[in-house]
Amino acid sequence: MVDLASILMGFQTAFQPVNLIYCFIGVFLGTFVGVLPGIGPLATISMLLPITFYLDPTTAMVMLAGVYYGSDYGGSIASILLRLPGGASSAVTCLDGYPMAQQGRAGVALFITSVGSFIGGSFGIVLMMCFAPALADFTVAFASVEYFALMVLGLAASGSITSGSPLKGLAMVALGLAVGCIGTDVNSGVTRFTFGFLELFDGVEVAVVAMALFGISEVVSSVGTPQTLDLLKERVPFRSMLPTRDDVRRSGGPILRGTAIGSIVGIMPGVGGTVASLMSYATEKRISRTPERFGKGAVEGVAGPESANNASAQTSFIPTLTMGIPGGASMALMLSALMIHGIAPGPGLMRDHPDVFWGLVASFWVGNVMLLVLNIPMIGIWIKILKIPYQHLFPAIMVLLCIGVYSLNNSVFDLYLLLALGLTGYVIRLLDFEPAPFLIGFVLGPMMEENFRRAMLVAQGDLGYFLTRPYALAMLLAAAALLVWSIVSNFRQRPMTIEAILPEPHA
Amino acid sequence: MFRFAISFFAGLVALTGAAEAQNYPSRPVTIIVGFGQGGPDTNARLLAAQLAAQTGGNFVVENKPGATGMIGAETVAHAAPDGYTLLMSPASIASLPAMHKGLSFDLQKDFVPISIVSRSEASFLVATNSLPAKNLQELIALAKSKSVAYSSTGIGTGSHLRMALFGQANAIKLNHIPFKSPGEALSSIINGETQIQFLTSSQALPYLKEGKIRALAFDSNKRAEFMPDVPTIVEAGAQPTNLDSGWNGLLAPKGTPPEVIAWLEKQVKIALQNPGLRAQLDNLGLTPTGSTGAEFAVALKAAVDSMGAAVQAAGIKQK
Repeated sequence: MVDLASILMGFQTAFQPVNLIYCFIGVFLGTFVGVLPGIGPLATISMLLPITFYLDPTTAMVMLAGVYYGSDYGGSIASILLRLPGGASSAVTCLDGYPMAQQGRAGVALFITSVGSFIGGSFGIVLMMCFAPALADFTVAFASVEYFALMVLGLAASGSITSGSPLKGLAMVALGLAVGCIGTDVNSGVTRFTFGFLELFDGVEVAVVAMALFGISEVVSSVGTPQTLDLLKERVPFRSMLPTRDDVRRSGGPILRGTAIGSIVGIMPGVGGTVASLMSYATEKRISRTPERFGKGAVEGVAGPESANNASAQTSFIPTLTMGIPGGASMALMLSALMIHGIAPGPGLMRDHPDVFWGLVASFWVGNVMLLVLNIPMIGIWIKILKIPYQHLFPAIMVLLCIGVYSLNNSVFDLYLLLALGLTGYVIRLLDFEPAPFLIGFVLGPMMEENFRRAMLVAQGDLGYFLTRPYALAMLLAAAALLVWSIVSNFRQRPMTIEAILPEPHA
Repeated sequence: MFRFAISFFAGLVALTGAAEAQNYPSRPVTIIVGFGQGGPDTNARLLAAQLAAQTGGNFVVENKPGATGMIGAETVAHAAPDGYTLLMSPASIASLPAMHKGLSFDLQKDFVPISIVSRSEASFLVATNSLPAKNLQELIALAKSKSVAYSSTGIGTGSHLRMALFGQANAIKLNHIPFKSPGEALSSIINGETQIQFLTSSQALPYLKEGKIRALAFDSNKRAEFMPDVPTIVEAGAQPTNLDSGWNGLLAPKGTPPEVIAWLEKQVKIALQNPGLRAQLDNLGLTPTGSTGAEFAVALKAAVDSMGAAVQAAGIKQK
């Protein structure tokens, strides 16, 4: 199954100086736009597209792909330092990354992130090299029922993500679901909760939600309560950036599990890195012996999701390259870059253009090594941002947020939306609600509804359809088992008293 | 202050008609695309790059995505008619009047068509490999006895309207399964969740060649050169759809000086003779066209009419 000759040829292509240079440009730009909130790989790839007309198709793809996976490395940096997600897929990293930064452990968080991202990415590449041809048909084997079942499983696993009152968590999931309903319903074409605004016909961008709930709410509450990060006033020695033995021990498992989750989710077109990172975070918290540490700076909560979104970024190239089915808008744009060069993406790509396919896959390795080498020394520079007094920092953050959100659709309306959701985020924060369950409801809810209703359309309303699909059935049973297990373990740990159900006041 | 006043009046003078039209374009021309990156946007960017290279002017593509192109069209319809804001749109814009009540613009009255930039090829009616029907006649017979599901890229899109027309013309009832993106719809036709779909030639070809899906018929008046074995719908003994949904055109807001329109029409025509641009469009499955404004106006009216009929055939309620 492992085609050594092709892999070798791929590396020869990837190591050509011109490809090395464009790979570096790609991953460097990717990291950069990843750090900037809102401005993501899609806008960057679109801006670079005209340049690629003048490049060899392999070189063009090497650069564009570098932007794509590089942005996932960069995305976590502002999440950790400023609670400002670079993209929706690193929003969940805010939950534990930012508390770590407040405890003076930003360096450790960034270090673990880089290493986890590298391991996640590398595993995704190995998967591509060894199994891409075999996985080609597998990537399109999933129908709506399987997508629906995966979302149910994800939602069941995410039940653990709230750290405060379960009731408040449920309320936030419901609110997220409601906001997720905004827009044109795929199955009927009916517009919901748009209040006549054309700008809401396509729904609310997940990036706007992530920026508002995490970024804006943090800025507003930080401005209200002036804080100085005393820990960073003095010099930061390099050693303090290195994880302790305890950190390493705690991160190993989450990195491996995150990698596995991300790899699977990435192979399924259209699911994406946000779902991967949310599922990984939920898994880590659920299996942890000390779930109470999550949300307060648990290194597992950074290691898992960041490995997951990078693994997913790599494996999402599998359906794109082996079947010509793009996993998302950025991937579709990369395929059009190939088409302009006269290379038709599709199931024949690997056979007809092995140089492009293997050269690109080998360049992923090169790119990931570059990213690791680029990111580790940068940690020291990044954490200096924290030394900037907050009153100077927050106007800059607000400007960056607005530019980023405006750049999504060139729409002023999105800025009003950012403001409204940001203030909502601040209010719910004051009332001790959490943004993470909101994000889960917002991301998983609409996908779940869309796929369930589509499955029902296909089956013409026959629920027995689920019984005929083994993968879907297995996932649904696993979700049910997870729910039963969490209820049982809840009973075992503490007898169900009224206090356990009612919202408990906490610091 | 004095300097400001001068530049203000200079600007005012420049904005008034004839003088401006003569040295058009003296500042950047914005071509608005009502969709996000990729798809129709790529065509606009390729054209903008060529126009800039050949005229020395500055042509900028700006995405105003949302509401299936409505936001972009609305922006241009209400923009100053000075030739510095143009709209590049696919034919799907012609379905908007039938789909939406209370559009803030009239597609045929508020725009001046400049040129059809490109056309996409005709569509194949493709089937999943496991479908028992071996040809179009068997498909029609099958659809009369049991439910056949077709995928589309969304309510009111070309792939939906075309199949709705096909079903209506051949008196069969088909089960519509809409998807959000072309990729998802394509997956479902490969894995057999849905059974049939209309795909444009460039979309279908790689999968037909590899045997991942089958072509039942070609929705055109003559066979495709690259797939001579596939009959046209008429040859296969069924009623065709007659839906012309495959163009990308450049439009300006009503009131744009005629000299500017004529200049643009000519420049687009010249641009589309450039071999580099022709090859790039060709690779994207688009035929470089460069029609006149008058030809475009006829095509636009035809598209509004045929899409209106298709929206009715599909049973989409106006909203």
